[in-house]
Amino acid sequence: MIRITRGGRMDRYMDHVQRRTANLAAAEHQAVSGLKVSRPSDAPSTVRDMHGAAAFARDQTTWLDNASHADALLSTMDESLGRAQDIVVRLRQIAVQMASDYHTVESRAAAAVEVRSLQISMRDVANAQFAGRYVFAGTAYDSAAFDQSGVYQGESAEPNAQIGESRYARTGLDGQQVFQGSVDVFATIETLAAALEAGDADTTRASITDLEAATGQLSQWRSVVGSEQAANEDAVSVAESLETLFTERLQTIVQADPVEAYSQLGEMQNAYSQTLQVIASTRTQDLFDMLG
Amino acid sequence: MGVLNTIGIGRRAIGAAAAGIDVTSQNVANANTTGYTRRRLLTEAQAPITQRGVFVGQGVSVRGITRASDRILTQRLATSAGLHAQSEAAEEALRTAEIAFNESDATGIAESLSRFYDALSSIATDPSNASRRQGVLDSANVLANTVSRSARALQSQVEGIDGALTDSTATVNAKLREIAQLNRAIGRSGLSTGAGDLLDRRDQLVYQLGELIGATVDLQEDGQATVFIGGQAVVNSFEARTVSVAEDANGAAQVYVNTGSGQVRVTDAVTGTMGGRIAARGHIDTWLADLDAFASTFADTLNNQHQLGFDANGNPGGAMFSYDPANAAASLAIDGALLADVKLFAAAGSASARAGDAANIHALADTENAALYGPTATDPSSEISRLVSDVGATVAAGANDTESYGAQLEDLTVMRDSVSRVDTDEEAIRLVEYQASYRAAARVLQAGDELLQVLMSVGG
Repeated sequence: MIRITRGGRMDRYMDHVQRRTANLAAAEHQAVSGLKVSRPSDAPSTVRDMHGAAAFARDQTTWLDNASHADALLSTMDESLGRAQDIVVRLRQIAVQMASDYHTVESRAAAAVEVRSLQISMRDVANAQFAGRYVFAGTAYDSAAFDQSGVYQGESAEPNAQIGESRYARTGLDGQQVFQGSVDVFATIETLAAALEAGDADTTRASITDLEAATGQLSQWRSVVGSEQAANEDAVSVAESLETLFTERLQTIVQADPVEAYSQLGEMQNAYSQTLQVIASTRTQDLFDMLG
Repeated sequence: MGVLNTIGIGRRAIGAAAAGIDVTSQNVANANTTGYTRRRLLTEAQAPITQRGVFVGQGVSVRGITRASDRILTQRLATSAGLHAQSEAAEEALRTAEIAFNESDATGIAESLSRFYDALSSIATDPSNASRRQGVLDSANVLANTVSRSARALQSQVEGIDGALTDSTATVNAKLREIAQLNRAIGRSGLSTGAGDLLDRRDQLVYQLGELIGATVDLQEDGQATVFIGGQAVVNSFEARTVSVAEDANGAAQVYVNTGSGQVRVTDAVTGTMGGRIAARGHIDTWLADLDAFASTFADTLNNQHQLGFDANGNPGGAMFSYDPANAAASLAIDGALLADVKLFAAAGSASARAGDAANIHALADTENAALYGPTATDPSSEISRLVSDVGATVAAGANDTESYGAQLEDLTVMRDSVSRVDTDEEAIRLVEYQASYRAAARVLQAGDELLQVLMSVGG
């Protein structure tokens, strides 16, 4: 039989109190901090998941910011191309009207004034900016895409922004391709303006075909921008879903369930209290007390 | 047979009872003294004499005072204390080191690394933007500082362990000397009453040496203790050797027993607090080496790519990070000139590049997937996760060991207490018993005295 001594019992009580206190402190920490993983040793096997979820959630946040930035630039391109189309449509109307033999040299000269004004508007559209960025200058977006003569100053390379895993959105276009691709919009306008100023009906008539081609060219680029916008919106939707998913996953790994944490805290408090009560109740008289 | 014999028996009985009360008093007084082993009075019937062919008893005699101790238990307890102290010391040191990898908030290496690559992804939308460039450099600076801070915390922990090992060595040597001295004193006094306290002290020292360095002991019947560390006798009879700690060529801490003919390495057999600290130091050294490898690979990879790009002035990029190859992680820092001038950030892919050229930024961002890190050639984030996970698993395993060895030690302590510890209720019973014996012996003496008085009055 194991011989039990009073001193030995007291030592065991001390050990039990230490353990209960440590458990209580851990439960209190979890309840107060709201974290069930506050250091790597709390859950070593989840470290990789924890890091992965945190990194993925942050990636989505960054990509959402990038997509928002890209959306603003794509909207500027879309609006600008819409405005350019309107200008070309008006120029075609003028060309069709002035191609008629009924018009005089004077009336064509008057129309030329409007064409010159629209020429300036077209240049302004081609030099459209958002927050200081010229959206049709390619990667040279810190300066105007076209000079006063309609000569392209930008780059053929186009900037982009990452909006998802291996997904990129264009944040600028090569203006030369947009305005001076198969049809040189500026040259066409210049030809029309010069023809009207010279009262040249034949050249005016001939420019109608070029203006129709320019409309098609601008429309094509607008649909390119539209596709980019749709892809961007899709990327935003995906990133928002994934951001929520990975944030929740991270919370599941790291954060304590409040109900569970408080329930555990209650259990630990009860266990601690019971241990103290048991120890207090064992303080009985020993034989020396009884011997008087 | 005779009145005088009766008086003699009574006198010896009173002496034995008084000795019993003394022993009991000593036990009660030391009931809470650490290392005290309860004593018992050993008595025996005095050899009888023959009177007219009849054996006549001569009462009681005190044979000695015994210590209620178990040699095997004492040895096992020292070994168990060594293993428990080893796991406890290792856990404590590793938990302190774990703080260097605080990954639960936004200050960890994984978080900083992720933020750095996010900043690169973000700046690609507008590479010439000065505030975004600054954002990349700031996040690079934070990452370098985080890696450096973690490494320095680990180095500081290693220095602390080395200091503690040196202190422990001095303590161990002092205790070895004391055991050798006790061997001499116990040998002189024999195993009689006087040796009890010496034996208690010796057992306590054996236990403490178990806790400190995992020394094992061979206790002889004659009370002599031979102490071993890693199979090397460090106390033999009256002679004590010394132990020392030194770094080997690889920078690992080694424990040596200094013999007359040189030093014998005993590190692998060392347990106890010193063994735990050495084990923890080994883990920390490994983590530091991993962190150094991470830092140098990361800096080299980013520097190489950065130097392939062009800065805002059209010049080739310089270094992005700097480090001392001999101390890579702790010395990791962002290049000072780059941090001071955001234009030096080589975002572009060509010298003639315009504002939106992010070719080199994309290339820098792609290094996030470069499988160059760690023993399994993985990407930087996975390597940090592996390292942090290893830290966590090692600390958790240490905590499990402490609990397991703690339970073993507790069981052995209960067994040791069962044999050796004073119980005051028991002592109270003994006291009552000896008091009764004393009173009874006094009555015998009184009866003998009265008989003698009667005889003397008859004679008168």
